[in-house]
Amino acid sequence: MEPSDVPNREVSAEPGATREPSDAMRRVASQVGEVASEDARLVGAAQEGNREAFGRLFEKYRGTAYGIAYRFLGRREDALDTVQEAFSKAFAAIGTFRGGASFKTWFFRIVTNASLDLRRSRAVRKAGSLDGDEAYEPPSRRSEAASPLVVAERHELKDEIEAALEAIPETNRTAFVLYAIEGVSYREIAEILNISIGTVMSRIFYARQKLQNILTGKDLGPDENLTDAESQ
Amino acid sequence: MECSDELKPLLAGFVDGELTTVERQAVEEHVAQCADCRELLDEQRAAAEAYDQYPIEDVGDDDWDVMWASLDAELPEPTKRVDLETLASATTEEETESTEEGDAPAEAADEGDVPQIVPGEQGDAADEVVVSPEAQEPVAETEEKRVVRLPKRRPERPRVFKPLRFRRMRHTLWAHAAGIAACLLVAAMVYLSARPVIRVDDFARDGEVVVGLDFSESQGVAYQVFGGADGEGEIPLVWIVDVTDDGMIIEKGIQ
Repeated sequence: MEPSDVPNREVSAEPGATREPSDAMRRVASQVGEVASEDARLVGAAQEGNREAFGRLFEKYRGTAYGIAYRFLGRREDALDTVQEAFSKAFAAIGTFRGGASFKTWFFRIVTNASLDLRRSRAVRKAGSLDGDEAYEPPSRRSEAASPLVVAERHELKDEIEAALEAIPETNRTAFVLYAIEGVSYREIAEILNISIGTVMSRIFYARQKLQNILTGKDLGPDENLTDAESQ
Repeated sequence: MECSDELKPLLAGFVDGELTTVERQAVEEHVAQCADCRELLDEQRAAAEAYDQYPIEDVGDDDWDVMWASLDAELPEPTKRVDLETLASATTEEETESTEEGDAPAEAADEGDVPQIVPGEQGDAADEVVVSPEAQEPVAETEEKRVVRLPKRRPERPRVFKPLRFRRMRHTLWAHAAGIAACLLVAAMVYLSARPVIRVDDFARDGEVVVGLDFSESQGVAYQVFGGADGEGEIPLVWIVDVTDDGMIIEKGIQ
């Protein structure tokens, strides 16, 4: 097990409630407010059965949802299936959405959970396969127009990063992956995962440290205790 | 700010621009003096940049169109609303046409006797004319139209309010009972939500505590290692809910 939480750091149940915001955070907050207002209008219209509102929400969040799912699953088809499943669940449950959290973080939570569920079920299937007959499915190359050398380098890098991520505890990895998605802040990750901002920061820190140690060869494997807190 | 386990996670926030002004200044001052933390900061940046290189396969518009078509098929049909004025004028035009064709129905001269369209009570078929019971002149049926005569409506009676003393009293008793139940429920929730705060130091150090977080169990779980430094035996002890300066807020038991 690896330590991944910030010890003895003042955090509150409401992300940001006790933190003095910087100018950058205030700008982000105003942008978040604008997005939240638009989403509130779209969700309200969707709850009344407006198909165009559903379509607008789909167009707005499909790309980011795919990015989240792909980073968790590593396969295009699995990511697309997860995104479709997440939208289907969200649209079916939109009548129950009350606006306590933003639609964005609510929906991304659905995407994250769906991705993790598929990932775990894949791991269970892989572990239960007696003959090892699950053939490796190379990622689709349909959309890649680069030279074969570049493509090979990309896949090598992808495999290397994925292998390193496998060694990171799931909780740390989840926060780390979510932050890599463009447009997702610490505050939103805290809402998605229902944790404090301090915890988000801690998990990302230890995930990066682990990743960097693996990529540079300092880490010998997933059982190695790497952090300073644990090594003391 | 000293070099400590408290500071290190802030390095991630520093890289990502997620610190408050005070925190950022503190980190800047410390990193300027601490080589180890400068190295950690560089590692944080390097890891972030490495992961930014993670290649993601593209998705074409065709794929999104296929997905949307499937989602759209699952959406419920929107409720249709009938424009009553349009429907009324369309029905009147049909009656006029049938009149011009001969075998005209005996339409009354008075406007009040013209077959009235009763909102919400249209005929079952397009070739029916709905006639209100107030129409005096008989409306002859034609080959094209079949007259459907509505049953007479009972005049609306004014609502009579019975003396509600007993009913009001009964409602008041129910309201009181509901209020008491709500208070008890809130009290129970407050009691159950009180969680013991255990200082981190309460756990023995020196390798006897291992903190691990398993997302699949919904939140963090701390394992207390029994058997000394060799790690013999791990028993889930508590469920970490939050971390404060006073320690970890926990709930005991396996979730």
